[in-house]
Amino acid sequence: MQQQHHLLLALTVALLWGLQSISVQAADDKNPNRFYRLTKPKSERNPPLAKDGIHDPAAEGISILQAPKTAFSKLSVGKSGNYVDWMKSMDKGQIKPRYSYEEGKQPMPMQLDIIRQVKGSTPDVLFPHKAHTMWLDCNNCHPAVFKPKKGANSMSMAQIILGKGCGICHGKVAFPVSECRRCHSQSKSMKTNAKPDSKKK
Amino acid sequence: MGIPSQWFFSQRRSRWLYAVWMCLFLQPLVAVAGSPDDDQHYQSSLKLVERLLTKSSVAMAVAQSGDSENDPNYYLQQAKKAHAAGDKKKAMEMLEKAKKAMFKAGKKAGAGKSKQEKLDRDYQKKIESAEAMLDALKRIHKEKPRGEEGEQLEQQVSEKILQAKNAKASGSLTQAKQVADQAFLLARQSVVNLRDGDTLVRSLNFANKEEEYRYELDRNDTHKMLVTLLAKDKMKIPDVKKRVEQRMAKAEGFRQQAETEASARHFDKAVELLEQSTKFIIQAIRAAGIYIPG
Repeated sequence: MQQQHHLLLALTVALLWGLQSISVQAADDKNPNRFYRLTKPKSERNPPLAKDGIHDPAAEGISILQAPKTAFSKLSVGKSGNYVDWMKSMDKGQIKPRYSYEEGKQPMPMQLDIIRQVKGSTPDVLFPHKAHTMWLDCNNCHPAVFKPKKGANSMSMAQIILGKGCGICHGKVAFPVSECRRCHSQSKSMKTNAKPDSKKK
Repeated sequence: MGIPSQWFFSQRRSRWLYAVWMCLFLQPLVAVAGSPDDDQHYQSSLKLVERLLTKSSVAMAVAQSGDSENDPNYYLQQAKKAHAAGDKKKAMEMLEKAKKAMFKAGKKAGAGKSKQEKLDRDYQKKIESAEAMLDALKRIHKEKPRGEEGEQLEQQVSEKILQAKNAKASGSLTQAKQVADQAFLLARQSVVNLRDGDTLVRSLNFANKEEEYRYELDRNDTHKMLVTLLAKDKMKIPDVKKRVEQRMAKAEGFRQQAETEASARHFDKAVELLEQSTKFIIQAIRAAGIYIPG
């Protein structure tokens, strides 16, 4: 009998401790001295569809759709956007996106990096074809979005923010442009052996 | 044991703890057994399926086709009967079948005009991509000559593109698309093989100061947009708003001076002033607590 009492007591203490942790997290979100308070707190990330400002909360089908938090809970964590690292999730096999509606087609990744120099001390942009060709076919971008020719594509962040060029996807279905270093990753101090407007292997 | 221990481990205390735990364990079972939410889910699914079967564009296409095979309405009626009989699981299954049957019927019915239009669009896109890849292949062959092999490859791709265009002109859209696909795949494979492992550098070389001025204008506009994009929420705090606005005012001042100099074609000076303006915008963003490079 006493053993049962001990067990019940232990379970009750555990429950109360769990409830307290949840309330501490909720209180923490409102704490003005919370670490890195300028970023969105975890509780506000991936809100329910009826509250995300995108879906019509009065839509009849909204209760049928899976909640993002549930869908993303088992995927690798990212640092922005919907806080999922989709590349890592694919590399780890957590997701297996179908490449084509035609059976048997596989992606054809290409290891080709393009470095675009920018003015000032902002790091240069490194565009990795490999990461993109895991998801996309060449004709998704070429030539409709970008001509596959050096010097033929003038680009600016203003255009990207307005949804052109890279902005067709980034900020909508790929990570947002608020994460500068995801693209501006080639430091000026990283000298390459390539001459300007040249290629290196 | 002392008095507090005896009280703690009394039977009365145990009964109370048992009651708490039974409530905790039983509550989810009650939720699973059936709650107002399940019925709401069924009702919203039912409304959706009814609309799909009677009012949607798919429904109209199916009605026009006159195809009654695998009638979705049959499943809809089965769903209603099952729900009325209290079998919610079967009701949801039947609704799901109604939806699938409707989409299947819709695909069959739509295999007419809209399919042709799509095929045409796909063909256009593929032939443009094949031509772009062929151009790219020719440029790469200039950098990395492959002699006769390269020429033969270019010839093959060109022939396939021409074949595809001829098929389209003669009205065989399906064949045109297939050949365009082949041309594209051939060109793409060659480009991938030649370029794999390369790093290309697109350096920033301006033909003249005017070009550099245009670049700086774009850069300045971009950074102004970044203030809205990154610091919008932070601007609700009065102190932050004041700091940001002070710096933005300085940036705007430099920008206007730059535009005045540019209108007098003093692009050297205009570029310097725009650089100053952009620096203040970056300071404004950082004053809002957001670090950006630059």
